Amino acid sequence: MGKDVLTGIHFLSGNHACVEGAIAAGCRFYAGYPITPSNEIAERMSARLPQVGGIYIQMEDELGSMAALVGASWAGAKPMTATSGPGFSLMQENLGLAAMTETPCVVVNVQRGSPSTGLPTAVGQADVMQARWGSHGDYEIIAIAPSSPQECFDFTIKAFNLAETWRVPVVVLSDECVAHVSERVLIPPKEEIKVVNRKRPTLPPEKFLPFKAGKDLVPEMAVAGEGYRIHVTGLTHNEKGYPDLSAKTHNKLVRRLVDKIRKNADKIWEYEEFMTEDAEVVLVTFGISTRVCRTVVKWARKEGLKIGMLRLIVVWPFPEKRIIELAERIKAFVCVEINLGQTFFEVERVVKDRCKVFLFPNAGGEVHDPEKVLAELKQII
Amino acid sequence: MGVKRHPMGELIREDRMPHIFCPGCGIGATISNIAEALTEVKDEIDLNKVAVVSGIGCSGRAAGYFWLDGFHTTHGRPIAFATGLKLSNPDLNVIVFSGDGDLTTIGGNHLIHGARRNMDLIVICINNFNYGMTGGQMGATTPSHTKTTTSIYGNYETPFNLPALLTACGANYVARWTSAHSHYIKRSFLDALKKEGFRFIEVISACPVNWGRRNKLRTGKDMVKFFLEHTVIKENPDPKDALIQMDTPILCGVFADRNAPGYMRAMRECLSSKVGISEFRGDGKVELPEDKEKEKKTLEIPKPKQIKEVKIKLAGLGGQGIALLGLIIGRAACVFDGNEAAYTQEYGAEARGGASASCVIISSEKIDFPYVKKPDVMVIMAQGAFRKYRKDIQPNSVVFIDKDLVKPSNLPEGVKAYAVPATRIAEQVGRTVVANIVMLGFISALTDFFSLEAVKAALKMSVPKGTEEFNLKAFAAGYEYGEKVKKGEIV
Repeated sequence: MGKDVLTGIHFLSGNHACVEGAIAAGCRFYAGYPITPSNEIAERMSARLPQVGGIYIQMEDELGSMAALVGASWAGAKPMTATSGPGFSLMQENLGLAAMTETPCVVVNVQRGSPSTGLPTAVGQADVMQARWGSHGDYEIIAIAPSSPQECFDFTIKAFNLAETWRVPVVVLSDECVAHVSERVLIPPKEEIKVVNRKRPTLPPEKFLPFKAGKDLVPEMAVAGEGYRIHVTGLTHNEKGYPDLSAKTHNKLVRRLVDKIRKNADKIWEYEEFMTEDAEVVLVTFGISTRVCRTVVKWARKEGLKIGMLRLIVVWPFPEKRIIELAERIKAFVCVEINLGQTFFEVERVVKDRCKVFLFPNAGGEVHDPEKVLAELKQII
Repeated sequence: MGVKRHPMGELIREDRMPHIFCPGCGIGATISNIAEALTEVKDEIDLNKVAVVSGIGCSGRAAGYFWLDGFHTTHGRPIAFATGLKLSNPDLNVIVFSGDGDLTTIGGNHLIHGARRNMDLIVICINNFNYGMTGGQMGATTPSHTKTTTSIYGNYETPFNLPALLTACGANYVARWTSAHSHYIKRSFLDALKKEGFRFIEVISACPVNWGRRNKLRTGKDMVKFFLEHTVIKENPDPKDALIQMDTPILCGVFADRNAPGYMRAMRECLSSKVGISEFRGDGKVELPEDKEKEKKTLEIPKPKQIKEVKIKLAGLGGQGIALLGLIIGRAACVFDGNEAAYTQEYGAEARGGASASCVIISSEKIDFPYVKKPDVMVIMAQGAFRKYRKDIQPNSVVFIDKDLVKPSNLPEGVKAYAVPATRIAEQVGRTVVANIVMLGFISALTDFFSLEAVKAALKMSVPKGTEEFNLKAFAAGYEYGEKVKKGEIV
């Protein structure tokens, strides 16, 4: 008991691995509401957090869960919640508050078949656009998509580090398949795990401006109880944090919130390429579909087909630069995602007429059949 | 000539004056009452550790006027927000200051659950009977028959009786005053400050501009007069008499004053003895007791035991421990044999009670596609499962069955079937529930998917504490039967 990093070899589901990643990253606050297929995260959190002196609270709904996360972060916690489609919809209200008030927090969205109640126990990947702009208004956040339990562990740590670095909510865009497959998970020794903490005030309270950003566009963060007497509001606010409802202040603030991610995107982007060096056709994918695509690429290569894979690790911000570079020299991109076109439209937008862009749609309920993907690929080559 | 300091300057953000409140509004007066109360105890409590959380609306602006840590959150959510704040830093005194529409209508769910949990918060609820900020619409606290911009013919709904609601939900402290009762508000707040748990103070507040003028109380003075003449303050008032009606006096007083454990205390009392830690907080500032086990400085991964990739599908009825069987196999391969394994379960409506299956792939290489479409091996523990999954049995594959419970028919060409009376052996060992473990022993004897040491270690790790020896006995019985089949002693 009392161990925060369970160094060793484990056989864990993606959901359980998420929990261990969170705790290893310093998460000591979890607020959530039960929903399939994310429940194993809440269940393990409720057992593990008390062991490390942390807080698990089961809220009355996802509106409250997300509000509690924002509150927790402003008391100095690294907070997390987990949910799925319908709950993710309810969280959008306070995800917007977190974006506006630059509050570091992590939301795991275990995607299931949707819309509405959809397929509670089966896979979907159709919350990509919702993860980006599910709340109202202009803002940018970060989304990261694991494809295995090991990545659920590793990427949840990354998610916390990104949230703390850029002061944004970070969405771990998991899915029912990744959540429920159990595989080997290696948890390294504590000293080998990189943990990033938010920037703290370098000035005393009388000189400190809580929303004045540095060159990286990220302000230092004072939290409640430290004597800074901060004021935090979801209203448009000036550098002092006070409401200022002028168009000038609004433009300055909202542009910074967006630019904070857009202008730093090259520091945030992360993707994996598999056999793209000489590829003529590149599959664009993320999450569980990565594993379908890797299988397809291997099979295709055996048949002499020059297929590669660009797998998005960070889905938002979208890796525009790399997509353009590849588009200049390949014949086509093929988007393999469990939805009817979400990253596909982003790829089209970025590629313009540089190469062709195809979508292999799948409304959800199961992953793509690698054999069918290969057969369809052969038809378009 | 110097500028005169605000009388509450120590607790008010003077740089935010003038405030937004209308002439005659009761919110500013209540803010002053709370500020006065806090000034009175500033030597006893650290004002740097007092935070105010508000929602949206006129009263929601309060968090922006206190010279304290202040949070102006979303509509209806201040109690949920404050819950996160308090639990992450329990040293804070967290005050929720917001309006009736915010706290009781859009935020009603958080209000009743905050009270039910006895969350350690003080909630000041300004009740001005309407949505003032948006122009005076009706809400869940608008008295019956009164007029608002959305009830111009009179409100035909019944409002909440907040003292009764909060008392019923379990709040430790419930009081009601009007904005004309300054000294009561102050005293009540100081009483609440000394307590733990959920403390709720309703302040019936003047809103002459939006509510009063539509209900013959056009000025602040009219409203204060109305409050003084139409209220009755009682000792131990009965919450059920607290419904606000325009033709009867408004009942004020302290409706509940109990000392039930607050959320933090209840949590500590439950958890401390179970996890050996006495402090819980979200900000990570709890010192963990020294780990007795020596911290692992390096991670040693055993060399993979070279095997050809094998795809196993396990099927049975709910309660036969099919999922556990798959987990043990996966653990044996991953944790102890240094191999890779991917374990998945088939979900579905029929998974409860009916036939269900789980699959494991074992490989010494990384597994790309974790799903099993054409199993090399099938393990079938019941006839119902056989019926459902017979279609998955591949030609030339291997099938393990419970001899007594599965009567296979129409098997594809070249299938090698191994049969063990797993349930019968389990019964002999002591309990039929270990039939899955007997099957595990049987498979172990007849295949080399995982090493014997690995599967035994994984088994011990996966079964409930105290049942390890019993399960190993079941395993040994299955293994022994398998050895006999291997030697041709049993067919």
